[in-house]
Amino acid sequence: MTPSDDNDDLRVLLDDAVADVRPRHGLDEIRERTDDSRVRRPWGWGVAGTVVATAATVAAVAMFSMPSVRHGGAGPDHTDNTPATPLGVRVYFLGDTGAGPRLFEEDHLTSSSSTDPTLDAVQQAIDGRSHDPDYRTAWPTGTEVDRVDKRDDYLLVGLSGRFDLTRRPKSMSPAVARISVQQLVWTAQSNADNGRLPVLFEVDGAVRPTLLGVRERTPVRAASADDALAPVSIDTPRQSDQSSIPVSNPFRVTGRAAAFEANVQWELKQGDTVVRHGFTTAGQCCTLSPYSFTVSAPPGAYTLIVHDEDASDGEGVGRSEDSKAVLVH
Amino acid sequence: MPLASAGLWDQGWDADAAVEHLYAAHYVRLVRLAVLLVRDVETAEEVVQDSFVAMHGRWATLAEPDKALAYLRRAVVNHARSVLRRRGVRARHEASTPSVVRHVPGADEHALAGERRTAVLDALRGLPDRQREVLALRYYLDLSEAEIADALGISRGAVKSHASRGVTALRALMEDHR
Repeated sequence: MTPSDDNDDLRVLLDDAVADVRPRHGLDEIRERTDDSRVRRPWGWGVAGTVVATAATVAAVAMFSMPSVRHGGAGPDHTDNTPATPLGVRVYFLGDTGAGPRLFEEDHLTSSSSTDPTLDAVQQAIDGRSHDPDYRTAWPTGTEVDRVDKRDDYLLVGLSGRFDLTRRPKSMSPAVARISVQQLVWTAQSNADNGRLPVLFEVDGAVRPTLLGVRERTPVRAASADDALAPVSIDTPRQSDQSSIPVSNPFRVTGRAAAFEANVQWELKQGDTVVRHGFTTAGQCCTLSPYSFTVSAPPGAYTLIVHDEDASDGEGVGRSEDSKAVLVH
Repeated sequence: MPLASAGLWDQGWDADAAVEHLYAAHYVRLVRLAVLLVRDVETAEEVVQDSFVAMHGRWATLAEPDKALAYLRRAVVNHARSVLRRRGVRARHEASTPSVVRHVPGADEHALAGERRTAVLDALRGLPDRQREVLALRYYLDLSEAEIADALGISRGAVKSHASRGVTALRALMEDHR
């Protein structure tokens, strides 16, 4: 079916532009690459039974050997036979804190089909597949990173999606929209090699006055750590996947907190039972600074919770916490 | 083999046969589509061959020529995209420099026609990915909005807006080339 519009001249132009392209014969190459039996066999209709079995084998092999789809779009798998070595990237996700939605940091590996670690990291941030089940993304499903280009004085991040990304979805609060923009700025910056360059966003190939309804026309600078990052977070033990973190006994806990009077409290729990608890102080009051403490516990599975001053007695901002599932050996 | 399935089998293709038939019917057109997307013929051939290999691996779930062709289109667009990503900044700079003329077979024979073709390919390379993809699928393959939406995994509304922005941008770029 031909769409009816008055752009027939474009049809002629495009048709003509490639009319003289005469590709070389490619069937033999395709055959060679789809033949995994390593023994050349007769091509084509052959003996039906043999062909069925081979086709099934090829399909099964393909399922296991093809790198997985990078994101949930309708696209087919990449078929590079030599997947890139995964690289470590830092990815930021949203989590709820007493100060509102804030960023939490995780270490991830690039997907095997990735060719640009920064792009891959930003896509992982958008997709929200965090190790920690408490973290999330607020980006609309189907949001795709089209490109990340390093320019002299900014990073260009191109996004496209099934929804209009210039607008804030009705279900999203302005605070979540703002921090979601920062989520990508922080993720892009921490994986690009050129320092803390601001980020210029494109939506569907053009710079727009807004992103998720946040007015950001010029390159967006990273908000300060105190404004963007969670007031309390655990750096180590660090999750490398979605399972519990194996730790020795005793194990050391480090992290960053911006807590009132620098007071940081922690509990080690099994179910609802507090097995161990204690407190420590972060380096400084009220601005993010490091803390550390040591926990010893008998072997078993626990939840480690680190939080700031309990707000049960009053006013002001709510409690902020980070938690990790640990497995003491 | 039971008669019923033998009968079905006679009408159906296995993965190898599917590749062979679809290759005969669509290979050249798909390579030309890929040239509109990635510009140079060699890369376009690779992109389309990759897509056929991927289709072969998926044949068990596709099982019908129509589905396989739709899959091939999606695969060509996606593989072209990842090639462009891989090329990154370098190719974008090259593409914005009209003096860099890549090898297009036959271009020498008709210098004037060759120039116009180069100008169209240059202009396409100057468009955002989505706009280029929508224009190629719509005005080269003559797909409907619904088919394009399916091939790109975006809404029909998005197809419309990419198409109209793309047409405007392409016309503007072609003006520059005159």
